[in-house]
Amino acid sequence: MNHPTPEHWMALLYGEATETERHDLDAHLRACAECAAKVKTWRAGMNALDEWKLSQVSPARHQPAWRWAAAAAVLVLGVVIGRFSMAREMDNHLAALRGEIRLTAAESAGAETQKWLTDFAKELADQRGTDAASYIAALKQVDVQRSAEIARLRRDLGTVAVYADARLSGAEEQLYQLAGYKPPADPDSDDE
Amino acid sequence: MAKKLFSWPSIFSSTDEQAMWRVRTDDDADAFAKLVARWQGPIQNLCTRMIGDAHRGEDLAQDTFARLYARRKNYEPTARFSTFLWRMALNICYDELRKIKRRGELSLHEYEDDDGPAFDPGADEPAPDARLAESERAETVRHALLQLAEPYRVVVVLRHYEGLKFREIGDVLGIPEGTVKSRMAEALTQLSKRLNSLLTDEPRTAPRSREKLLI
Repeated sequence: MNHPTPEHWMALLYGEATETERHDLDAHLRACAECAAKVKTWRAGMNALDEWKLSQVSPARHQPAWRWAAAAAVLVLGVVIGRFSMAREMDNHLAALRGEIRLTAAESAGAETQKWLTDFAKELADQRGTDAASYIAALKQVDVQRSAEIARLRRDLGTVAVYADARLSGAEEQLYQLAGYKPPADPDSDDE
Repeated sequence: MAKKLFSWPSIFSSTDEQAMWRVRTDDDADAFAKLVARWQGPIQNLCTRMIGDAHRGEDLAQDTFARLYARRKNYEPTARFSTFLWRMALNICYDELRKIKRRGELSLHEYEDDDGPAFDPGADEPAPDARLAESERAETVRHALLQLAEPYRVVVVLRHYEGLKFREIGDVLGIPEGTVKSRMAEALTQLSKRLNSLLTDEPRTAPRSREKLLI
């Protein structure tokens, strides 16, 4: 005889067997004393387990933990919000804490903004003064550089003019020499 | 007033996955509070059953939700939220069990449940001797469960007490469904042997010493 496996019996005992499986297993149970004994043992174990019932935890023990959790939630960004139960009182407490945080944050933010604006205005004025001084200094430097460049250009132009004048004089002299040039007379000429 | 009209559970209430997505993307405190409200009980029960101590279980459940929030960015919307959360809670339980073992401390001491076993004030109050017997049976089962090796215990807790399907347990533990079922069968076999006296309704013997209860 092929016996069903313990897995089959567990499905039957915990109501997870299909209709067909249940029918087959019940039939086997009636015919097989060995399996019937096993199932009886398991059923007894299941009944025994039902003897350990848990009582509800008294709310009194919850209270300090929740209060502690409420305070800690503000500090650790709600990590311990899990400790909050469905207690409405704690919801209100949490809402009040949130309001306080928002108010404090708003006040703090207002003062912070004012200080920031003042600092910013001061820094802006300082920066403007520094910028103007830098700008003037830069202009002066540019002016000095330009003057130096103009002087250098003048010198160069003077030098070029002197060279050019000397060359022109040399060329003029050569032209005169060329104009006064007379070729020597040919002794074998027929004209004489 | 208008808020109340929409506060009852309805088809408009978000799924766990949607709520967790809002927690992840917007740090939505309301969505997180809803998740805590829905899951605090099951997670606390899981931790208590795994550790065997109600007060420690409560602390571990709180640790689980603190870690869930701290690691909210790790949540992938493709995964089921429940699987993600069960796994996180179990890892915290395993860490705690390792610490307990390192310290040589056992959670097998007498169950420190101030309120005793479950008691429904609306029901007829049982007689003191009946309550005592009930408490003793619960204690016996707790001891037997804690003696199971962790791979078996976790399957029992998730299937028998938390009501997860075998397939879901396989997803949480990352093992095949068949393995989960075979572990369950083995766990029930071991429990039946250990709880023989309880099952046969014989008078309980004196509680075993701590040394003998070492896991």
